[in-house]
Amino acid sequence: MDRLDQLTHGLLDRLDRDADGHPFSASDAHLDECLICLDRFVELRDALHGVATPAPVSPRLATRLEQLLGRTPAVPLPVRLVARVRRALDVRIPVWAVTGIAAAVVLLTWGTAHYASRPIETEWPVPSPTEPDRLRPAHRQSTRTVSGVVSSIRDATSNGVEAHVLSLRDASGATYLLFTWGRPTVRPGDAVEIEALFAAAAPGADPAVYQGVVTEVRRAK
Amino acid sequence: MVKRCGDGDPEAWRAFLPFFQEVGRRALRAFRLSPADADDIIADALASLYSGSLAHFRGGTTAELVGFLRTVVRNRAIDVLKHRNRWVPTAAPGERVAHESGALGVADAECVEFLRHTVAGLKREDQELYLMKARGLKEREIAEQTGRPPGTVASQIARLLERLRASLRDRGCL
Repeated sequence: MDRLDQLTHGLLDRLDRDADGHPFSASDAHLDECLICLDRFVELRDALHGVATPAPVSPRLATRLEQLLGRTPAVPLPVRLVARVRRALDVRIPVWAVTGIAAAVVLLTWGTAHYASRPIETEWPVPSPTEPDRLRPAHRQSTRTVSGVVSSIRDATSNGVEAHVLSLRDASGATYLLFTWGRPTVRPGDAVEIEALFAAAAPGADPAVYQGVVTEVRRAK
Repeated sequence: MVKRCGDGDPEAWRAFLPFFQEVGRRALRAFRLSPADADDIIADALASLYSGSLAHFRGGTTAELVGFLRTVVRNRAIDVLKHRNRWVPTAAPGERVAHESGALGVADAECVEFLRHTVAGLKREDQELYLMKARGLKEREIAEQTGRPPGTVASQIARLLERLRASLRDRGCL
């Protein structure tokens, strides 16, 4: 689905919502000016066109009706076998599951590569008794929440997969460079709370610069 | 026919079935379901009508009956997809789907509004082409319903979509 398709679906949603309670008129003069009624007209014309030239009723639907009417027609064994095989091969994998698995694979690959290539002598983070909740590498800590103001957003879309890098500055002046899947939902200047998986800190930077992957973005209350 | 169906006349239901199947398949076009899933949903909707939903129809015209049946089928599809936690493309009037508000970001909402104004500014025949394509009609079906040659329809749609993309690109939406 390309960007125009996405926006088109958004537009159809709006037309459907706006049609709720909207008086329908199919007069030519009105259809020239009203996109809501033109959309309804197009759908209605399509339905009536189909009704005028109906396709043969599917065997499953006919069987269902006969069951409702109290009669169960004998379905030949080959037809039943084909139907069972067809159902068995009809694999349903939700989009969110595919996206989640892909993100997990990327994160796992990235994390493994990062772990394998880390400097052995590096002690990170610097231990400090006054700051007990310091960031630690991904293999020692899962997520944490940071608050701050979005300073910039850079596109990181690649191979059709939408992503961006969000730069955040918190009250202490620390900077967070956060990789985020999908399109931006905030803008520079927005105050946000972000949950992220932190994986690295730029050595020697002052103020500190942290890098991570966003798991959730919320506008600050 | 509706009255005879309501009275439980088997022959009326058999005559009603092809009509209902066509309306149902068109109502489900935008959901991008497999044929087996579409058949299941139409069969469930049929069972719902048979068990009493058809008695709720208060209209008197074919257009009103078509609208009523579309709503029954689409509501059933939305229930099924919500149960599976899958994306639902559009909601008909009266349907309330939790995903709709907030599904688009601020920038997307502005772009959708811009697209709406752009489409509203097209010629009527281009508006119809866009809406038919958006609602999932195949080019062959659009050709049949508009009386234009299929090749002409295909090139008109391609040019129209390219114009819309160019407008959206100029606006910063692509």
